[in-house]
Amino acid sequence: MADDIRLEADILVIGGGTAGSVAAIKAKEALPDGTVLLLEKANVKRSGAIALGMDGVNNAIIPGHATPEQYVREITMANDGIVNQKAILAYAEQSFSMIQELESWGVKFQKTATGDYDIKKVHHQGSYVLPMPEGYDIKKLLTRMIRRVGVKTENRVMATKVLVDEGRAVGVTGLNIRTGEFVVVKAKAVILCCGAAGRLGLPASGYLMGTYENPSNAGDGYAMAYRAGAELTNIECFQINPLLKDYNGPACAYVSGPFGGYTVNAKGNRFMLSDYWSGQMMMEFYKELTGPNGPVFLKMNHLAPETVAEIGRILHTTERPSRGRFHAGRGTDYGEQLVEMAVSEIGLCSGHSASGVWVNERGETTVPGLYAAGDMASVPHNYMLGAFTYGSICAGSALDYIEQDNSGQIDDGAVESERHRVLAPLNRTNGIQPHLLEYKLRRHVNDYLQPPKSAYRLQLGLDYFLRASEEVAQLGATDPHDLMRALECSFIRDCAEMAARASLFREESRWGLYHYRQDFPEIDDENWFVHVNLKLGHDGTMDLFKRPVEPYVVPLDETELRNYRRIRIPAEPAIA
Amino acid sequence: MIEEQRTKKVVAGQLKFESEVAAASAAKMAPNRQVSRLFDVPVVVDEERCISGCHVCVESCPVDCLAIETERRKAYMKFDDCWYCLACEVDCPTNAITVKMPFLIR
Repeated sequence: MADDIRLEADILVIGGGTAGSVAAIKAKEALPDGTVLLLEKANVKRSGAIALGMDGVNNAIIPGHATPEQYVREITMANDGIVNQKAILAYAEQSFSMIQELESWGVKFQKTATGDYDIKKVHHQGSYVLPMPEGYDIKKLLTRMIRRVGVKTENRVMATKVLVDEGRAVGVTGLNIRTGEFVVVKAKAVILCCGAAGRLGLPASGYLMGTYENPSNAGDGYAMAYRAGAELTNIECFQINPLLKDYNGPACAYVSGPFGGYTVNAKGNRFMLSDYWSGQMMMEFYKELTGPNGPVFLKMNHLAPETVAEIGRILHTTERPSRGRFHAGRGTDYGEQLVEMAVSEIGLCSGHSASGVWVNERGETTVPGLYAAGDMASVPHNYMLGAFTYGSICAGSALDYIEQDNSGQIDDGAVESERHRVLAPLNRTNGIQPHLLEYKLRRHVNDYLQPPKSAYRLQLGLDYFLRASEEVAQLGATDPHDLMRALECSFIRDCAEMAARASLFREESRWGLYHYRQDFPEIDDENWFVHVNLKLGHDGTMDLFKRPVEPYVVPLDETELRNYRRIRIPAEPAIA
Repeated sequence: MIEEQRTKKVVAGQLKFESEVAAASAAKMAPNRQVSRLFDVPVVVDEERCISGCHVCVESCPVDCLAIETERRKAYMKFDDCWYCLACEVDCPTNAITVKMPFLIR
């Protein structure tokens, strides 16, 4: 067997997507003589949720257009009150300087003729959407910065486990997915930026890799943080998005909305006041989709041909540029027909909903030396700019931490047993093929965890996910690529178990469709105005518990808190 | 041993092999294993245009589904994992790649 690759770093960043790129750049800028190492499962030039760019910023808080307090209030409403406001406020206050910094790196934001930021309104209340007409090259600009400041990058290395010494993160193990080499990295601090758990539910098309999220993001970060002993939160607040049916990418209401496009039912009628993605909005979307006036469409055929062409230009060059090809194949012309929509598979992603590894306003997880940013960290509705901003916040916190504490040691026993676990499928003859187990796991996620939820279904799902541990232990792999997929099955299983347990634990409904329990259909503030957190217990089973909502720093009155529960356009009153 | 098990009298519903594992092992040796390249896959490479020795597309792919074929040193889709993101197509210096929608969502 080949020798392990041994690496060392002052600050280790796992994942070079949105959050990880910025975390690594900011850490290295502050540590010109130190080592900042970035491990990336793909290649930093095309990795993560913005591999093919992004059409805009969904949550820009630009002075003169919105205040941080307004934004905190809006996101609190959109999350039915279950938020750590301090963490949202930290984002809201620091995100504008992040925008300015991105501009200094060459990122272009849309401006009006007078030079002001061209902010659009998509949210229910405030205006926070800032288009990036040339957003297709954002990953190129980030990669250029990563090289310029001297971040050490290891592409095609997948982290498999966070190594812990006396409760503190001291490094990771990993696998080179091309060569099959086992990698051990010692670090003074570890920043996890592994993206969403995007391969949790199975898309309705049945195509394993036809996910909304970049399928490299299999929930690696969620599972690794859990195994390291960190707390996770709001896992039952699933991500479910309104997407182009079958294509399974965003339509996207944030692009077409400001141009005059909107969501309608099969009769061509608008039924929602706001197309901004929230659990409450998804509930109305789902009701209409499955109701007598379903399905649901994106309407753009009332717009001027020039406007339709401009929407097409953005949708077909940025984020998911194959949208145009898909529609051409189906014979759908935005200017002529309505565009059919459907709901996505479920996932875990704080970028759009609220599930994540628990972090505070400094990006700290509950494990010292371990930080998390982006779609896998718990700051809700954080989107791309939140990932950038928290990447930067985590870099700052990690820099402070390594000043004080760097005495951790790597436990050779833990490394040895992880090496055995990671490489075992290569030596297992007659093993289960990874894509088969993945399909089975994700089909069970759809069968039992997808809302509407109920205790009987959730329990049956949980029973299977527990049995699936034995199936994970029977996986076989023929090459390093296959081995990556086998290891991802283990991450997917962990995420599925968390999703089932957290959904069972919260005996109420909240966040609209995201946690709609048919057996507890009402919001129960008296008993459940809390976070549901979970972590690895001492006996190796999952502990679930209530974590109180931190006192608000931006108060809301009762009526405000209910704003997002009134997304449906009321039926017209009969004329007297 | 497998031959011996195959000649056993078959009863409907009864496993012909000692165990599921033994059955899977026999199935693996069956001669009809297929190579995905012979089928319709999303990533289509124009080998006339593809530069031998270039691996830009292989590096671009976020799911690592592309590889360089060893004999002719041209790119091809090795693993059926395509996310139809177009990174390979956009980054190819000679426009040799076309990504089709995977059949299931076409």
